[in-house]
Amino acid sequence: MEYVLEMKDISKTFPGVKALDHVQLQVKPGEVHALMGENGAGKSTLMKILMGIYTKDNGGEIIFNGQPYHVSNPKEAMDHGVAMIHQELNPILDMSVYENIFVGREIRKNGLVDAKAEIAEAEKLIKECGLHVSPKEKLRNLTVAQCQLIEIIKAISINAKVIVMDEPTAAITDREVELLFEHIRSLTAKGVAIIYISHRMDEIFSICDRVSVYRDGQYIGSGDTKDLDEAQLIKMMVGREITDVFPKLEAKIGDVIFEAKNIVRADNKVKGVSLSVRRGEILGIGGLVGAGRSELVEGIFGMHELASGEIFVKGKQVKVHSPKDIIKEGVALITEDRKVTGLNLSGSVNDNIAMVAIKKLLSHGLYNKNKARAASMEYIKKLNIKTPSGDQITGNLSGGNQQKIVIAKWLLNDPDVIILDEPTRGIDVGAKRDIYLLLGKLVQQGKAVIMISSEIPELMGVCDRIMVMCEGNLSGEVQRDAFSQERIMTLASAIEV
Amino acid sequence: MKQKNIKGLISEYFIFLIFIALVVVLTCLKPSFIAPTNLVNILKQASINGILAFGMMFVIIAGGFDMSVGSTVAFTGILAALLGKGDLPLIVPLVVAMLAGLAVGMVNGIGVAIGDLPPFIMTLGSMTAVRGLALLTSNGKPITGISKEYKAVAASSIAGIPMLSVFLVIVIIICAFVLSKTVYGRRVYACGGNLQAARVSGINTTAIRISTFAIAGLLAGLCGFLMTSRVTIGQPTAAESYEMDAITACVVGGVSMTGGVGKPWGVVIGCLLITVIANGLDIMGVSSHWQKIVKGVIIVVAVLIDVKGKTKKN
Repeated sequence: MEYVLEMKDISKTFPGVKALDHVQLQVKPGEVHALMGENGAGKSTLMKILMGIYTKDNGGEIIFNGQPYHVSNPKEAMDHGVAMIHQELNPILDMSVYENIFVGREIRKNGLVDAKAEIAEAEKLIKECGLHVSPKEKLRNLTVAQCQLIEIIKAISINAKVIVMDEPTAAITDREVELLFEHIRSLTAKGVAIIYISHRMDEIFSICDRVSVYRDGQYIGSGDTKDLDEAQLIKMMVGREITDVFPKLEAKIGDVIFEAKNIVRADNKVKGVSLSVRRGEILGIGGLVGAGRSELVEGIFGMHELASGEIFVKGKQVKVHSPKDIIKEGVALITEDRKVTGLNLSGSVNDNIAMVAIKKLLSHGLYNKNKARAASMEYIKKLNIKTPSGDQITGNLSGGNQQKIVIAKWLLNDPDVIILDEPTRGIDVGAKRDIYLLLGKLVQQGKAVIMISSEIPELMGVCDRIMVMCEGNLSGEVQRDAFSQERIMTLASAIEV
Repeated sequence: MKQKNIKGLISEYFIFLIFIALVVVLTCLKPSFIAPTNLVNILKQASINGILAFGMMFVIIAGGFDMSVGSTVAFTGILAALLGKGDLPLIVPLVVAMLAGLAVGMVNGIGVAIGDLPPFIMTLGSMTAVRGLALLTSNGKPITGISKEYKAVAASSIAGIPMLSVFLVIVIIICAFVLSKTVYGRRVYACGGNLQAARVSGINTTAIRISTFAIAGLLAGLCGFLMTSRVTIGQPTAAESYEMDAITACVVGGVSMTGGVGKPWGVVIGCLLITVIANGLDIMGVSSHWQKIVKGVIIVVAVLIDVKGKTKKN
């Protein structure tokens, strides 16, 4: 049997949209198989069909383990040996580790839950995984990476032959990614096949054996990763050649426009960091997750209390008690989690774009819908936001378009200093490129940009200067002509000397 | 580490400590509070609210809540009164009341789990409509003349323990067992903890959610039967705002309004606590107006502790 899983000629039609158009997927036992494609390419839809969350259109077939495979819900899929670790991790935070592992398929004795057996079994699985937590610990007290391992343990415990991992590294640190990869390798050594969905190129090349690419609901092709390079993959994904992944526009670097001195947060997550940025400059902030990067900019922006620190905008000291104080001075912060702190997901595109600069959209002191619509139209065009209209509900748009809306709402306020926290996380190649170009245009206009990113190639491609943080401190700064991945990694994981 | 454990224990049993403190204070202020007759009285007062609270607990743990149980008590109480007038065996009004309650609960559950209505809207609607049913079936007047045997249900006691409390204890034992020992109970917590996660883990979340409302309705029906026996008439306007008392007992007892969290013993304490406060204030001669203010403050403070406790751990 060459393939453990074969999906042939699969189509899926939603009202008005053909999400999948006769696509295929073939997975060999013991391989890590990457699914690639931009958002909306149909990867998730295909996986939801595999898990029985969606039903495919008539025609086409799925062969699993040499047998025809029909499932109508995730439980049946798991009974067959197909498990999925979802992108938005789904732990039940108020339940313990062992309860989470066995949720939906509790071990029974005389018709009742056999908690003792579950705890013993969980303990064994946790040990095998090299994790050091008590099975009785509540998930609320675990880190994201530990929760993720629990999900993997869950998949192992049902003897899954195929495990789907959807963006498994989106929320964990580089060190934890290594750990995850080790677990993946030990699984594949046992013959388990992994279907791996990720937007991160470096991961695809370091962990995956083969890759299948989809675009706009169509199957484009498959290949061994060792025969492909990044440029070829991107070409397959976007359908055209992108010669320049990180476009960098020339800008004249001027005077210092923004300065923060000796920022210490009251909760001590940032322990005395200074930064300054000039007009026309893109400053990158690198470091591992948890290094205090977001905490730094959120502190500067007045979202958290500072123990000490001074902030200067255009040479003038600003006392920041709440975000309002610093927005007034022309500073914008595009926060890390657009769904939580960026958008009103149930509001329309127009509503969201009008959120910050609402004062510009008034006439006679009242909100003028026509002005808002016009402003929103302008930015939909400028930023190439793909939406049927300004009245579309934001939650229905793809991640890349949502991110552009967050940026648009701030740009409408005409800020001079734009801080972006992980602006390209979870969005596709095309949208990423749009955002890099936009940043370039902004600094050409004499604005300054500060960008936090965990992807070092992105920082190196886009920034003029990168400062690196480690454990709440500034561990170093690198100029563009001295950029190197090793240098930045070393600073990010600096062992205190 | 050790200190953290002690802190954890205190926060876990906080409400129990408050309860003990309150009993001590009330006993010091008014020794008659601790007299056996008053304790029996407290048990009796706590019974109907306690049974309702346990039904409510299922709903809240599964991530919903139910405003309609008060109306259901009144409606099923009327039905029980109508059937309890003649010579029919008492099992008839009991079963009919519980089935009627079950039906109301099923409707709520279907509206929420299948119709995707917010529990607040769905049960606000049924609260209003079922109160109408109670008025309609009784013609808006109290139903009098229930049989002697029926009256005796609530008035009697076994070994000094009022019959009402015997019902409560049975309900507590069954509910606690179901929630902590059965697969079903585990899944109720899973649904409230994270509905999406429960669904992708293969749990039939629709059935679980409907069933929790059904349990709340069923127990409301039992309360309707007991209520009529206790007040000896079927009152269409009875049990007004009982749902709020049931929710209060749950929340004070540590059941989280966001779902997924709550222990049966907590609800027992929550229920006793609010009864003891009412009783204590009564025997100290505090006006019922003030009692309402005290109750309101307690609800807010209890939830505040719940919320603060959660964010700290995060």
